[in-house]
Amino acid sequence: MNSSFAIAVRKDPQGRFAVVITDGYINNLGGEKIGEAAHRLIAEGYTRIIINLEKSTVINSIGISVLIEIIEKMEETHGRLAFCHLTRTIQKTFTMMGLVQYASVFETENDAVLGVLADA
Amino acid sequence: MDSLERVVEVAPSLPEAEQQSLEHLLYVLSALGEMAEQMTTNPNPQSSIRAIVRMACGALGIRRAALFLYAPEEGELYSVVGSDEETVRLVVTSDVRRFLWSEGGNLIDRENPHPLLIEFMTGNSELLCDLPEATWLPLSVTRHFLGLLMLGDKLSRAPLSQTERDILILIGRQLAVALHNNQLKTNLMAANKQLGLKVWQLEQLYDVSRGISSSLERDRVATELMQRAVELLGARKGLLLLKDDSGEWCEVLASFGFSLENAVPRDSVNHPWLLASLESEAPRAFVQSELPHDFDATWALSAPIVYQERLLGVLVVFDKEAAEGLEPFSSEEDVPMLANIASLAATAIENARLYELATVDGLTRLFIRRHFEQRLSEELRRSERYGTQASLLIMDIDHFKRFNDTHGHQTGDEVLRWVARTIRHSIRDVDVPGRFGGEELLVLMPETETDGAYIMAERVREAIGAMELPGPAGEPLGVTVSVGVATFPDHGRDATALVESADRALYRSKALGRNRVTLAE
Repeated sequence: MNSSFAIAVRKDPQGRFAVVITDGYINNLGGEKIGEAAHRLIAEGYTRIIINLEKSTVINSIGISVLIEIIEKMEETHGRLAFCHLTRTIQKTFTMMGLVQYASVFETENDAVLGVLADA
Repeated sequence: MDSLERVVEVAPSLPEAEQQSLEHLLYVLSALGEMAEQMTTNPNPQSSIRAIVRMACGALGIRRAALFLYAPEEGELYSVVGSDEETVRLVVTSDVRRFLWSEGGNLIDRENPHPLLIEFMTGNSELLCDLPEATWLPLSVTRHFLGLLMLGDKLSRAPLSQTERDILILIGRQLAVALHNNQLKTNLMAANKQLGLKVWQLEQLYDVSRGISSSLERDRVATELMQRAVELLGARKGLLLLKDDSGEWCEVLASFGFSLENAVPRDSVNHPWLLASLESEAPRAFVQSELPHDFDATWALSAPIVYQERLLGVLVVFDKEAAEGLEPFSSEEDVPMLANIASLAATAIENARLYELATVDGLTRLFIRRHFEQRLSEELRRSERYGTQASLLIMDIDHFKRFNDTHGHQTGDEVLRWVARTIRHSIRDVDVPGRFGGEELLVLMPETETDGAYIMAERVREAIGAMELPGPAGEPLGVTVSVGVATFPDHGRDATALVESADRALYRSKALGRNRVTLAE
């Protein structure tokens, strides 16, 4: 399994939301990077975070535990977390682990942006 | 997670609920496989354990977890995972430890807690309120209690199913094995380090012991010991001090890095740091404020030199050099090393003292007649074998009887002592000085021809003539010597003949007016 992992963060110019774009296998390394990025955004005051998983097709148990941590943090700040571009496997895993009950899932990033802004 | 895809492929006909259950089990199985991989491939035990705990949370969808390890010496559990800030320490009594050990591998029933669990929770109530409390799993292997895994709620807040509880117990066993392996590895590494250190120390001590066994001369032994102690402990300076028989003062037997031989005054035994060194039964460390200002030292480590319960002196090293400046001597490595060197020093110095007693004249510190004759015979045999020359000086203190008669025997002894010391300081290291009895003194000069011996004899005579020895009333005493020089094989082909030739030359010096050097004919 290729262990290289990259991350990019795009912030709404008006500061309403931020998008974390992942690229690669979400394991120890990937999970850590996503966790750091999300915690930084929460610390900066972002309450709406979208995680775009278009370029990540696999996630392991550490990756799931990091996402659960982010959900917990978002609950504390009364924020909203959304995922988009999930593969079938990841969608199935998220459903199985109950993540979809605490975070919204969208087909595209655009849908996710509209979704998180809907109750703004 | 590719296995999930396969489930869909191979079991499409299963009812949806069973398919989901199978998918979940495959997901957990995959997580267990990753945990096993962590244990076998991650070289860093701490990050491996942290990853396994996170995997457990991810596998069961648990919000948070904390892992505590048991420290038997402290009787406490300390956090290694799950506490972002400072390490949390929970007090564990021996009864609680036994209870947790007996529960190892089983989930603790928090609904109907055991009295010992209540004791544990009450004793640590303030700290426990911030920790995960939904499920606790004590971790142990065979006879060892290793720690406690604390888990929070599931993301859904639903209780763990029986299958999930079974999986958690399985994960707990994996984690316990990982912790135990880590503990064994840590212990093994510490034992290896300790063993390596001991081997190195033994090698060094063997070298020191070989170095000092090559000589029986006290000064050479002391110098060798001093240099090796300074070198092995990475010190800048060192002193080897020997107590005199009265115990009233210390003599500097060897020094390293001190600009003056008399760095330690004779009465320094009264200085608190030296008194403390001598009175300490084990090595003792000193800081700058405890040391004499003149030493210009920041740290010191001293070790008493004790031979069969008799304190001979003290070995001291100063200022351990580090990559950047100086550092204090370490109790783990430097203290035992210096103690061992001091122990070797005790035997070597005592052997040298016994050798000296048997071979050196107590008054003049020159070799006694029997030893001198032995060295002379050996040297002449060697000269004969290699076809080289060796010379002999015999000297007599002029009018020595007059010193005794006029000023008393004490002054006579003092004159002898001064003359002998001047001889020792004037000759080369290879030359052998001796006393035949009375005021007749000799010097054997290996590999020295007549001309060289004559020059040396003149140097000794002039040095003695230049001495300013105060008499009993303070008046200067003029001391001169007459010298006879003979060379092997020209003036004698054996020791007896050579001594007789030099003796005849000495008498000619006397006959010609004393205070002169005469060559044998």
